Amino acid sequence: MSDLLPVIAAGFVSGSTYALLALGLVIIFRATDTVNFAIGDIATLGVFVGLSAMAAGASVAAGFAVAILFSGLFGVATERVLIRPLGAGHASLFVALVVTIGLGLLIHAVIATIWGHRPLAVPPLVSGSISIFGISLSWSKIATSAIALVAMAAVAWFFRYTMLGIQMRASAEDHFAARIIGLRPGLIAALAWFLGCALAGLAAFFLAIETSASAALTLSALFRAFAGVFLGGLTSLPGAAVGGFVIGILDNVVGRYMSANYRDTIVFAVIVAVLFIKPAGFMGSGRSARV
Amino acid sequence: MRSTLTGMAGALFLASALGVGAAGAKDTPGVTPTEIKLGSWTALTGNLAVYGLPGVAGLNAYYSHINDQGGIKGRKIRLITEDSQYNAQQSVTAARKLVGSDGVFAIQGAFGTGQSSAALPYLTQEGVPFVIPFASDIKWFVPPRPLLIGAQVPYDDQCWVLGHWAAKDGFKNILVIHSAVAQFEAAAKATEPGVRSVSADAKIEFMSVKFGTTDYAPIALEVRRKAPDAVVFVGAVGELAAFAKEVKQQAIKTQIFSYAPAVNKEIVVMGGDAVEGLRSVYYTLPLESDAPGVKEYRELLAKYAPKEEPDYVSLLTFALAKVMVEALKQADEPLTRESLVKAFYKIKEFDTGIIGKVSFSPERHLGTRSVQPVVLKGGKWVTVGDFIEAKN
Repeated sequence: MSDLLPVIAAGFVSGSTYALLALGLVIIFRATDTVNFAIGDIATLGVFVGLSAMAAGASVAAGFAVAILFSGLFGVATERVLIRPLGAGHASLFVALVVTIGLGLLIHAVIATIWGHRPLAVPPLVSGSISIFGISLSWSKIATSAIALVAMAAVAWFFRYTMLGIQMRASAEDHFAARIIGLRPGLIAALAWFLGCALAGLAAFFLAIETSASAALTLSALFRAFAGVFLGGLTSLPGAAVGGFVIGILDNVVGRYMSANYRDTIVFAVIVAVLFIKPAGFMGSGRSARV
Repeated sequence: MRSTLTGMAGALFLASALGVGAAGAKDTPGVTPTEIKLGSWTALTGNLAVYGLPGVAGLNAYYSHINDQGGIKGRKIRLITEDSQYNAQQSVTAARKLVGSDGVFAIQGAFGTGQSSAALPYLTQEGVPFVIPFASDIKWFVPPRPLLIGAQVPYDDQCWVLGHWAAKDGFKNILVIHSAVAQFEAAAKATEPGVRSVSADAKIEFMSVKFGTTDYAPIALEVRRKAPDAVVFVGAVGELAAFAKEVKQQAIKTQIFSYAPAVNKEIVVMGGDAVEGLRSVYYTLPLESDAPGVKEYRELLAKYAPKEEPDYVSLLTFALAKVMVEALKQADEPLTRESLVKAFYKIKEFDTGIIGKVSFSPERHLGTRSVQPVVLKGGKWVTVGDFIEAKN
C-alpha cells in the first residue's frame, strides 16, 4: 500500500469527470424530474461542434467554449422541444426517460454521419505534467479537477445565494406551489437543462483531450457518473459531486490493490451495499417518489 | 499415413456436407454463366463501421478490377453485403437472408469472429462454404472443417510471434496484459510458447484487465511496481492507447508490443507520441510499401473507391479478395461448391504481394500463419525484417 496516495490522487482526478456528469444529471432531474440519458451524447455532440470550430480556425480555448455553450443550448432546445410537451406527472417521467434514450441514439447516428466513425484528436488546453504524491499527473487532468471543483462551487453558490437559484430549489421541491407563487417553471427548466448539459460538455471536452473524440466518448464515464448519482443521492447536488469523486477513487484503489479485472464488480458491490443500508444514497433526501 | 487418412475422411465429409451428386452446375445457387453471387456481412453502421466500411471497399475494389477485365471464365463477381452491426444475431439474420433469399454461392469476407461463429451452424446445415472471412479463430481451422477456409492469421498465432520476437530481441521479463475476454485471454496465452521457442528462462507474467477499461492509471502503477522490460498488450485499440499514454505519463521504461488490431492510423490519433516506438505484427506489408502488390492496391482503391483513403483494413480485405479470386480461377467446371473447396487445395505458395504466402490442403484450411513485424516510427508503421510464421 506504499503508493496509496498516488492511487487516490489518480482516482480523484478521474472522479472529477464523473462528478461533473453526475452534477449535470442531478440538476436536470431536480428541476424537471427527467433522468437525462442523452446527457453524454449531447456533450459529445458539443465536443464535435467545438472541434469543427477549431478546424475552422478557432483557438483551443474558443473551441472549448463553443463545446460548452453548444451543449448547454442543445440541452435547452431538448427540454423545450422534446421534454416540456410531455407535461408533468409520474407517467411523463418514464416517457421522458425513453425520449432521452432515443435522442442519445439519434445523436450517435448524427455524429457518425457528419464526422465519421474514426476518432479525432483533441489538443490539450494546457500541456506538461506535475508529480503529486509520487504520481505524474498531466496539467490537463489537474485543470479538469480544478475546473470541476470551481464549477461545483459556482453551482453551489448559485443555488444557495442567487434569487434564480433559490427559485430553482423551490420549484424542485414543489412545482405546483412554485407556480402559484409566481415562479416561471419554463425559465427554471431551461436554465437547469443549460447548466446540466454545459457541465457535461465541460467534462466531455476534458475526456476527449485525454482519449480522443468519438461517438462513444462518454459511455464509460456516464456509467460511473450514474453510479455516483445513486451513491450520493439522486436529489442531492453535493451528494452527486461527492459520489462521482468516491467512484473515481474507489475504482482506482480496487483496480490497483484488488483486481484490474473485477474493479467494476467490486465497486458496484460496494455501492449496492451502501444503498442497501441507505436506499436514498448517503446524501439523498429519501423521498420515495424520487428514488 | 495419418494425414492421408485425415484427408480422405475430410473429402468424404466434404462430399457429404455439400450433398455431392445432388447438385450439378446448373443447380448451384449463385452461379450462372455470367455471374458468381457472393454474400458477406459486416458492420456498415455503428462504432465498428470504422472496420466494416473500408473492409467492403477493399473487397469491392479488387472484384471491380476483375470484373472490368472480363470476370473469371466469363463470370462477373457480385458481392452482396449485409449490415451485421457487429452483432451475432444480426449476423445470423444476414446469413439466412443471403442464403435463403439471395441464393449466394458462398459467404466471403464476413466480418467479426464471434459474430460469424454464431452463423456457422446454419451455414453448415445449408452446405454453404464460409471462405476467406475478414475474421479468424484457430478453432475454426484446427481440426479442419469441410466448409471453412480462411487466410487471416488468428490472434493466437500473432501472440506466438510477438512472444518469439520479444524473446529473440533479448527481453527477459515480459508482462502480458490482456482484456478479460475469453478470446483475448486464449490468444494472450500463446505468447508463452512463443517466448519459450527462443528462451527457456525468460520470466512471463499475465495480467487480466476488464474489457472496456478507460482509466489505466492503477494498471500503470502496477506495471511500474513489476518493472517488466517488455509488455505485450492484447486488448482493444482504444485501451492500448490509454495504457501507452499512462505508461509515458508515469515515465515507465518498457517496450510495448501489441497485435494486429493496433496497426492502423487511429492508434496515432488516440495515442499521440505515447505510442511512438510501439511494436506490433500485422497481416500485411505497410500501407506505404513500394511492393508491387501494395502499389496495385493503392491504384485500384483510388480508381474504384475514390472516397476511401488507403487503410490497413481495406489493404487486408483486398488481399483476401485476391485469394478468393485465385480459388475461383482454379475451380474446375462446372463450378460448384465442391469444386470451389477443392480449388483451394490447389493453391500452393500463392503470393498476393501483400500478406504472407498462402497454401491450402485438406489438412490445412488456414492458408497462412505468417505475420509481418512492424514498428511505429514518426507516426507510420515500418517493417522489421520479413514475415514470421507462427509455429504454435
